[in-house]
Amino acid sequence: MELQYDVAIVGSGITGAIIARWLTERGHSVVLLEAGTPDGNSRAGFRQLTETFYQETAKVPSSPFRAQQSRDWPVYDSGVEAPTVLRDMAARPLGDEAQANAYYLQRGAEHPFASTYLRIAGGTTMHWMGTCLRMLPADFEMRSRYGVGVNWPFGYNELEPFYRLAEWEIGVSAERSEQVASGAPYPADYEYPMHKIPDSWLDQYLAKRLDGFSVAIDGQSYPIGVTNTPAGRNSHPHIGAKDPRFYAPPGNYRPVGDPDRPDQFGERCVGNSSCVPICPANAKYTALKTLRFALASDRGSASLLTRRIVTRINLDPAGKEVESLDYFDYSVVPAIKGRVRAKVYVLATNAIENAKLLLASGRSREEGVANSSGLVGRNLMDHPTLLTWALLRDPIGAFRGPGSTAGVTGMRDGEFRSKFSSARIEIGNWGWSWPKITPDTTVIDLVGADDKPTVFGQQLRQQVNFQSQREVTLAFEMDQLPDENNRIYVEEGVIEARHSEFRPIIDFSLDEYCRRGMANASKVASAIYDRVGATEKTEHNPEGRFGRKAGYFRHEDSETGELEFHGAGHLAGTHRMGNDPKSSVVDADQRSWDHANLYIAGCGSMPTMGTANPTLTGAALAFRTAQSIDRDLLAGKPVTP
Amino acid sequence: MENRESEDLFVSFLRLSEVLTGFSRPELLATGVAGEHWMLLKGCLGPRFLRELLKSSGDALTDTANVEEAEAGITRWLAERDDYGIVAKRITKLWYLGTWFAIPSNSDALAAEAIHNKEHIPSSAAYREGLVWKAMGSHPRGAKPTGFASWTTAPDVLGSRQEE
Amino acid sequence: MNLRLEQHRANIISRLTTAMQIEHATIPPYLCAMYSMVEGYNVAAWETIRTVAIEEMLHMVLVANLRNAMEHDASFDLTSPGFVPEYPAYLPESDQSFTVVLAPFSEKALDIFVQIERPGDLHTPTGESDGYVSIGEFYNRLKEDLKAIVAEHGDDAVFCGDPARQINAAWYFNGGGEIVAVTDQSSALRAIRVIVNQGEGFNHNLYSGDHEEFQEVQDLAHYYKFREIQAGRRYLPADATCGNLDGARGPSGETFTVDYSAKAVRHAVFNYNPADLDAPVQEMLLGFSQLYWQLLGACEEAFNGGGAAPLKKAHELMYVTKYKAEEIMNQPLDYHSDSRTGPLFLHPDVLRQKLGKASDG
Repeated sequence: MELQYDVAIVGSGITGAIIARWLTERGHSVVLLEAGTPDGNSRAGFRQLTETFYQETAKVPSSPFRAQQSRDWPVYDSGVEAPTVLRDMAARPLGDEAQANAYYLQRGAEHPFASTYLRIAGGTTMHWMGTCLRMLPADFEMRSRYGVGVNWPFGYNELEPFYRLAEWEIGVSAERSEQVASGAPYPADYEYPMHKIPDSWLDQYLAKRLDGFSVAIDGQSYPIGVTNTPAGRNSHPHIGAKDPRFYAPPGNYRPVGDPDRPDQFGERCVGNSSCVPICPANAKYTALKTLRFALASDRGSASLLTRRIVTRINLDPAGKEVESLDYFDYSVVPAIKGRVRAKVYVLATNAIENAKLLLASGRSREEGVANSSGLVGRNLMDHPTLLTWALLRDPIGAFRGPGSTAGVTGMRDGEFRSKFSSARIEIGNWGWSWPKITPDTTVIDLVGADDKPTVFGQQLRQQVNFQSQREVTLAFEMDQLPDENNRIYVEEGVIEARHSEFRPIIDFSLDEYCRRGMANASKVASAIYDRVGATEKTEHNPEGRFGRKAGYFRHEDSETGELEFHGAGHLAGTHRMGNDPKSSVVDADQRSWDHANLYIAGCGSMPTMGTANPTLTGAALAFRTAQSIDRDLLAGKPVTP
Repeated sequence: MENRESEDLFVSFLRLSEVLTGFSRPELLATGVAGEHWMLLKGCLGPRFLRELLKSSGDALTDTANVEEAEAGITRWLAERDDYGIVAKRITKLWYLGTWFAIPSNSDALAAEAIHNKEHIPSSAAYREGLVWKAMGSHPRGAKPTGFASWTTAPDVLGSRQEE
Repeated sequence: MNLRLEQHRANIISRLTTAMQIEHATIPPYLCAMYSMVEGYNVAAWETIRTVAIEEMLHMVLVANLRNAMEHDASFDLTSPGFVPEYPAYLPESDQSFTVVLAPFSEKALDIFVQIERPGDLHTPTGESDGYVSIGEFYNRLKEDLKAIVAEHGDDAVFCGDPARQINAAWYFNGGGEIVAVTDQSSALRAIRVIVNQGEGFNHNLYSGDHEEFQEVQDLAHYYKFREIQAGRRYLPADATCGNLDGARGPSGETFTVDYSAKAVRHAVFNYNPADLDAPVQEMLLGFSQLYWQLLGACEEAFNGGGAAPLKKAHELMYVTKYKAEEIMNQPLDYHSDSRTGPLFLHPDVLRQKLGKASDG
């Protein structure tokens, strides 16, 4: 069977959804091929994800989705379990290729690539925190300002109007008046669609104690403060703020609730305290909210085809343009193969899967599609995250509200970036749940092992309260420079056999720039805890913890000589954009240099990482790309002969 | 007759749970999962052991006039038999976390066919009603939300609001 | 002072005071049904009743906006004994054709819900008194009075209230409709239209009118929402046949599960003597009353010009009150049956008296 559309988009995450909505509102026909299930896209399906989360003993970011990995795979062919309904592609110990549930492989590198990702309609936004910081102007010009990394093909000012579109599409809650302090300029008449998600009591507590505080690096003083974090989470609308999107209805911004029951659930955050992995109220943005509008549009048409894994990009005989996409369709039993044709193709999966599909589609595995630069799959970046934690002197009401409502600011930019990584510091409202899996471990430790004495009754109740009320975590998300040796690739024969899909193979390690930055961060953490009167409890464990493999290394600049880092799930860099086809994979519109009707979209296009969580920037790039595709289609080019 | 005994045992289970958790009987019943926890325990423990456990803990709590005396009684009771401690710890964790932790397979306490004796959360309600969240002065993650902006105010710690 | 105007105004204010009581009186029965529903069961029914309860709260705000638009320095009283009826009770000033009781989610409860929301033209007057037949009829009388007073005295004279007292629209969400700020006849009639159409339906249709009024997703009027639960089946647009308002043909869309068993519903009882309960459960009951009256107090403060702070407080108290009510409903009345303790919506002073306790003022 062959299907034909104006535009075929691979992936229904935020990038695919934004492009699909923009183009359908412009009258085009769009198909989204989603490898995962549409589970979150109905009220009942979404509730089931929440139920699964309740019943998973380890409430990790993939917990709502995990059951489907093990139990609920539909049988598609003579009793064999189907491929990814949706998969927690957990990082596995180095070299352990036999793990039944492992998906991507790691070998050769010093450090584990510690991030996971999801395969489901709505993509990673199904379990993101919703952090919507803009990148700083300096983040776009690392080479010219600090002599490291590379420059982007454009500066902050050129992307700024697209940030506005992205903020309104996501529905970001923040105050422009507070965010300008970051150094990123905003137009004078601009306002976010909703008021900020108010600062937690912990944020206020820290802000008061950090007032006037600064840290010195190389004789330069960096003021440390607390600033509210823009969030893709519903708050009260800003009355009178103007919507920059052409398809916006008149009047004030209307918060978008549950995609299935928009006027009944999720129009405000009500403090479920589980943004990651799932907002039961649906007050947090997911790409399904954007998709709902695309699918309902009466100007153009959008189709969402789920359980379709795109396995190959087919080029025309001359190798100039994309001719079709092959996919594996397990929405039917037994699974079948299908092909889709369109005028324009968009890869919108994520930095790993986009690169994997390109490399898997080449005549040889080294060559790949869209890879004349040889850079596809290279420069893989994350935000390696240093977790630090401490016990505060006073009860501050941890474990209430969104996972984070503010950050400690001051380390995102400065002259030190010529020597080591900058960091964004996230204040965790959920105690030590990330580093220590509290409160579970608090109770387990107090109650004690079978051969140990037990704490019970009034003592137990009081000690749980005392401990939990005082926990604080500061997570340092480190800028990581592009490094060609950090990469994803494929190899002949290394496949997920159930559906003939290549497995990504990942090599990853931290360079000295990032290691030194992390060592510096550990000292900044200690100084902050000292200042606010907290007792630091951070430990660095070479084995990782709770079965999660963490990166571990020693560094003389750190307080204790050793450091441990975690993945942030911020995948970027593998199809970098630039002005020169020799040193980049896509141009400033995310169009492949090699194939005029192919766009490779998402955070994989980011040449450098900066310290902002990348989704908002990816969303801004998606709007830019959507406009470019719209121009292509209106101009009647490029059309496959 | 059997019903009557079962009811008495349930009441003894609640009494033991009160002392182990530090939560009163109405607070335990308020969770709505007391019956569910009791059924799980009955499924995992041998009937004879369960009767002995509740009989002996009941004896240890007889004539205790206040919480301190009751806790002292239970401390002595825990020293009587290793198995009591092993089970008591699992009862406490079940109430607090909503998670059942498996009793070691070599324990005499185990029922002959304890099919649910593995680490698991028996129901969504067991998780949501975990006492740990109440002890913390918080609410279960992903359930029982507290309302927009409720996180902006000082915590209500043991009845007294903090001044800032 | 224009005596005729002020007399006319006082008459309308008095009706609005009754309206506030009527709107509130519907809420505890809806809440009791919701509190009784065990999470994970009857999800569709629970979500439906929730939207109705939330929209009744919207109606309280709309009534407050109407009154504040017509009266300077209005003084709302939601907390004195008497504002909340002692259930079982008639709806205030109704024709007394049916009694509103507190009950767990059940066929009996749904029968009452349907009576509360029944459109006027589906009613056969059977009541003893000359009160209104339906809530819609009550508002239609109010609407005529309003038109008359404006026709005689003009918008400016009638709508003399402080615009700053109109309730902040930001704090209404997760329900159909929006808070309408009332400043003149047209906005006043719009507020009334929202109340009536959400309850009884719009333009002799199954739907609430929020679609037309606020460009929202089309949603049923309350009456038809409850009919759906009774039938365990959704309406289809085609079921809205003209001249067949009661849906004699009934909902013919997809079915959903409705389960009244003890597994799915806490079988709460409300006609017990609270003094017979164990002391700690008595304390819980009292705690619930105090929370509920704090909630009413926060609404009262907001209506009396208190700004956003009491709205935030009321919002948080709605959650706390719910959890307290569920804890009470989990208390068995005895160990031999499924009967559970119902939270009584009694004023704290009244409850203390029944418990034989001294009032602590």
